[in-house]
Parts: sequence; structure tokens; C-alpha cells
Amino acid sequence: MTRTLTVLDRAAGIVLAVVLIATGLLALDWHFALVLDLPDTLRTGAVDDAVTSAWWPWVFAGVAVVLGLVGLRWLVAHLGRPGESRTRLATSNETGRLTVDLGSLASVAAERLEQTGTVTDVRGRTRTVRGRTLVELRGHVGTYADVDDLIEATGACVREVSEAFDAAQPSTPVTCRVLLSAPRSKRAGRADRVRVS
Amino acid sequence: MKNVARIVPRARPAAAGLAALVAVLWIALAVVAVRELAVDQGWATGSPWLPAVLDALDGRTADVLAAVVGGVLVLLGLITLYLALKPGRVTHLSTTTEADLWLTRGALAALAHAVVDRQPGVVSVHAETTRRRVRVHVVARDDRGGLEQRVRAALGERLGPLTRQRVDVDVTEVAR
Repeated sequence: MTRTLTVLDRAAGIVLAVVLIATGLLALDWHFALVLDLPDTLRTGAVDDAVTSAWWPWVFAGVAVVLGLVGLRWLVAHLGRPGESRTRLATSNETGRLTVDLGSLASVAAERLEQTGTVTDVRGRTRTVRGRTLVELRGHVGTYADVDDLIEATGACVREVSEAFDAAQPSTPVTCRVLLSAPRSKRAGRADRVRVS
Repeated sequence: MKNVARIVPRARPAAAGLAALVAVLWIALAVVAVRELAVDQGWATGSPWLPAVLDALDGRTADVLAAVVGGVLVLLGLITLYLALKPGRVTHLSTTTEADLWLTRGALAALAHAVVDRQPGVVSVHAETTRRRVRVHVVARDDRGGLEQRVRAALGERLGPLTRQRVDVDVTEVAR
């Protein structure tokens, strides 16, 4: 999610909250008559006249369809935006353009990290964060992973990506991040049982 | 430019759910509005809903139900306000390694578990992690060999390069 979308979501939530609170306070004041001098009986005649007029269905449908389309676009924006798929290298010249497929790079980095045996089910993807390309590797700590091996493996993986791009000079800086969760197996931590008969 | 390594991984904030709800309500409103237009123009059979709703509201008095509905709306509004402002949950803990490495509480607990589980004399281990500390409960045969010190030393040595979390060890002895 981008920062703009998060701000928009929070703003929408605040507006919804204000509308709910204001409507609720109005209903409470209608009953208790503490602040406003509201009539005891609700009359919807004026609104009813507008709703039953010839222009109302067209205006209502027009405004609502626009809102619906905006709502649909808003929902789609929450599905997540992939990061840059390619980055151009500064070593491009008149003989040719050099680009790196970041998706493939993320997959290869994930594969290499998994091959160390300290991490399982690693998946790599790219995201754009604050103008930088982030190669994000998500996986699970191996059930019996050694801490030193894990630090070495993740450090080497991050270093390799960093060094590769330092030399290649991409158009946007590329960094690598590793996010690890608990071991996937439900039997994590249990001892292997061997029967000798 | 802010260093990417300092950006804490967070879950999607609750405001995203509220936004999705508002978006779905707008889409539903569009469907209702198009239906009202279709019924009004005779493109579809049925009767319009909006005038019926207004007729149902017409003549309502400021009774107890209005106060109850008002109270519920205020409560819902306050909950909505809280959810709109609530930051997304931090999903991973930072580490002290050179690499941009982050671990969930479960991952850190699993690593602590693996470290302690390899110590001689340990019968069973339960490790859990909070935001600031790692708690390790060890069941051991006996503590005569200084198991608690060995466990503390092993955890300090192995987890030290990984995290600054405080480590608490609790050893329960069972008869041999």
C-alpha cells in the first residue's frame, strides 16, 4: 500500500466516523431535547417530493454510478501494486540498453537463500519503497536452524544483491530485505522418534 | 530520503478494512440507484425502494428507539474513529545483524528453542517472545551441572549477535 492510499483510507474512516457520531448525537438530541429544538415528529414530505420528481432517478443514478466506479477503483488499489519489474543500468550506452529483470532476481535470491538449508519456503518479490527498489524475501526459519548459519546465510544473500547492484549502477537504488516467520511445520521443536526393535 | 532499513514491516492498518467497507457501500449504492432508475423508466418491473423507505420514516416520533439507535451510532462512530487512527500492527522484530533481517516473534522463539533444546540435561523447552524479551521455560532432569547458567550462556552467545531482546530463563527440575 502506498502512503497516499493509507492517508486516503484513514481520511475516509474519519469522515465515516464523524458522520456516524453526528447522526447518532442528532438522534439522541431528538429524543432528549438537550440542545436543538427539533420537532417531535419526523416529516419526510419535502424529501419525498424530490425523490418522486422526474429528474431524481437520473441524478441519483449518475452520482451513485460515479461513486461506485470510484469505490471499485479504490478496492482495486488495495490489491497491491507490484514494484518495478525492471531497472535500467547506468552502463547502458549507444550500443545497447542494459536492464535487469527484478522479478527474476528476487526469485533467484529466494532460491539461493533456501538452498542454505536454514530457511524454508522463501518467496521473493520486489516493492517500491520511498523511491527505492526493495527486493523482499519472505520465508520461514528452518525447524532446527542454527542461529550463526542463519545470520551468515541471510547476510551473504543481502550482500550479494547489494554488491551486484553497486557494480551495475541501476537507475534506482536496490536493497534487499529478509523477513522470516516461525517454522512452518506444526511439529516444530518436537524430537524425531526412532523405534529400535 | 529515509533509509529503507528503518521502515518497520507492518500489517495492513484497520483503516484499509474501513475503506474497503466504504467502497463496497458506494458500489451497493450505485446498484440500488441504477435499479431505481430502471424501475422508474419501466425498464424493469417492481416498485421503487426509496419512497417506501421515506414513507416508513415519515411520522416517526422521538421515542426510545430513536435514542437507542442514536447511542448505537455514536458507539459505532467512536469504534470507527479508533480503527481509522490505529496504526498497523508491527509484524516483525528488528535484528542487530548487518543484513536488513527481520524476525517474527515466533521465529525468534523457534531459534531460542533450538539453542536450548541442544543442551544436555534438557527434557523439554517452551520458548515465547514478547516485544521486549524472550522467555524460555526449561524442564530439566536436575540442575546440579549448572544447567541454568549453561542455558543462559548459550542463549547469550547465540542470540546475542541477532537481537537485543532481554532473555529470561526459567528452569523446572524433575526427578531423575
